[in-house]
Amino acid sequence: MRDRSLAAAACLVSVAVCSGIVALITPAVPARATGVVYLLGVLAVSSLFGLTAGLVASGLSVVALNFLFISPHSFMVDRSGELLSLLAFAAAAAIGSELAARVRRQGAEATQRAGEAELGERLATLVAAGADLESALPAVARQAARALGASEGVIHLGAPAPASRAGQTLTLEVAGARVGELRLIGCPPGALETPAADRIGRAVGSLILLARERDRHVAERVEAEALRRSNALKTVLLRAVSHDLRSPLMAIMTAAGALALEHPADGDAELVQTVLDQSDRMNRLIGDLLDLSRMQGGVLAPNRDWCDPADIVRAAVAGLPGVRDGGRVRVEIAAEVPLVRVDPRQLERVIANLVDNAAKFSPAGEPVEVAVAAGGGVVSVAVRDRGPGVPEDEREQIFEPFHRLAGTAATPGSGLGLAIARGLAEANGCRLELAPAAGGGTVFTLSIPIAQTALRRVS
Amino acid sequence: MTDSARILVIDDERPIRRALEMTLSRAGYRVDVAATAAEALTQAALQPPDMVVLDLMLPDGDGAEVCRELREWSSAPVLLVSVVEDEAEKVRALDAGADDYITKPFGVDELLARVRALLRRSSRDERGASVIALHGLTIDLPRRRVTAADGEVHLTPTEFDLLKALVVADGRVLTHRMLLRTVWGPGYADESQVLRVHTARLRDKLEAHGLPRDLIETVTGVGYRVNRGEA
Repeated sequence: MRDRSLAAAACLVSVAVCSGIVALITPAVPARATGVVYLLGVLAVSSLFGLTAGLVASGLSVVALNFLFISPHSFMVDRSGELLSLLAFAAAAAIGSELAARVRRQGAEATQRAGEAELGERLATLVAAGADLESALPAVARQAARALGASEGVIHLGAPAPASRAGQTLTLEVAGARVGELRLIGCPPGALETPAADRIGRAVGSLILLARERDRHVAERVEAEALRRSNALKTVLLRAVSHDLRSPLMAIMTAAGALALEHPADGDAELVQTVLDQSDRMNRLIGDLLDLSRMQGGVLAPNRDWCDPADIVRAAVAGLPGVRDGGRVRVEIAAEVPLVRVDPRQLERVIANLVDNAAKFSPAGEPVEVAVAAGGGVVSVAVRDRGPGVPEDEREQIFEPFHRLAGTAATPGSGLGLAIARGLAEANGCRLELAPAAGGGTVFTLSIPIAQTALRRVS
Repeated sequence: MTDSARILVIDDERPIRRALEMTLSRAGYRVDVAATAAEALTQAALQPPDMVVLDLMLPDGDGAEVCRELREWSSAPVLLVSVVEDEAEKVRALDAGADDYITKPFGVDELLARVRALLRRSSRDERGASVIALHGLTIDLPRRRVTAADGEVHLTPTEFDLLKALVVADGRVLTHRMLLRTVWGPGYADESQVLRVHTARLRDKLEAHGLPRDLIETVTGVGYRVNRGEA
């Protein structure tokens, strides 16, 4: 209403001002030429207040021109000259109002786009600033609401919320997939049916997807970092424990060894030997326990290299003087065994533990057989004993730490050898299983995968 | 002869240092001790040792660094004392010129055997020798001929170079990197696969002539050495 009365007033003022100007210049300028002054007034009114106001101003101008300056002073428009003026004024009003409206529209669109660009920028800043999605959502909703001319906005993620209380809802979609919705309060009618609303909906939707993705990556990274730190800590701790336990033992063993060098009296020699033997036993136990904790702490990083399985097996047997010198181990290696990619020291440990275990459980004088062969994508190392065998229901339990078979309590050992062997084997991507051997006893089979690029060892 | 040899013991832990000192003195060696890398290098300059027993982990520097500095002016054999966990450090120290290693804790017998072997080797000094005899095997370096009891062993040039490197080292541990650099060249330092394959072939050929397979001994995760059957 206010706009209309303002336009009416503008028409009157414009015609009055034009009339005043014309009255001032009339003595100098021919009356008929003064029409252009009114034309300017019509253009001004129509561009500022639209076509209707322009047409009204045109009519008033023709009447005023006729009545005030063209004799006879009359309100009638009865001559073709005046009709032409009227048409020209009307046309000017139409053109002026249309041009002005177009400029206004473009201006409004530019403002709108600028608003969207600003919205995009603010949203991007929210994501880039590192705020997590949950805490950034209210700010995002506010920005989007403002861009759409609404007073308030709330974003609901996921499936549609139950019937809304008030306001309008803009679905947030990216490539046809629903992300959530933007609930708007105080939104101008029809504001959500515009292309701009579509764009804003997509922008906010993409932003949410992006932020979600980012949140997931951040969480993963934080988790990985925590794991890495925890592993590094475990490694440092185990190393310190290992050092702190072994150093005193080292001093004890060296000192006892020095005593033994002095050719002590018979009784003392036995005592010194006990110190040495027991220190040695304790040392092995410490080693086993450390390996077990490393295994269970997940910090057994294999240091992989190309290895000759035959080499590892021979080194493992050579490292067991008690077993080796008794001549109890028979090693048989197939003619063509490819190289494997494992941690050689860890694999040597696996095989040494298996051979040691087999020697322990075989009756005295019975040989331990170790066979190395390739086939089926693996190099297999089979360690066979002639022991009493393992009952079927214990074939997995035997790999548990401290597990001992019934009736073997007298056999020396920590009960960790097989658990460590299995743990080390698995850390190197190998399988370790046991089966009863044909003709009695048990055969433990270690299967080492053959790498695709392995060179063949040609004999 | 060796009983008057001078041995420098470097270890930062007093009880161990003391025990080693007493053990080696009782075995007839003259012993100097040092607790840090800096002290060790000063001590070695004052009283040039015939041999060094070096703890790998010192408070003021790692063993590899001590080896490198020592090697600049001394050829005294270096025996490393390490714990199982120091694998990578140990290999670095061997690359830097250490001769052998022993893993903590060890028995006195083992220590004395290593010390004797290292001293014997350094006094033997076969660097000038052109023909080396080993386990009934005769290796003629200038003619590049290897002869076993039952005739000539036919080796490829690479196999010969590999055997030569090991034999000349005279029982010292040669790391994989050292062997690859010496035999194949600096560009091959990480080609462990090549080394494994050639070592296996060399052993096969020696075995075919009745020589023990462990004439070339595998030091798992570290390298190879010639087994002189002494230690």
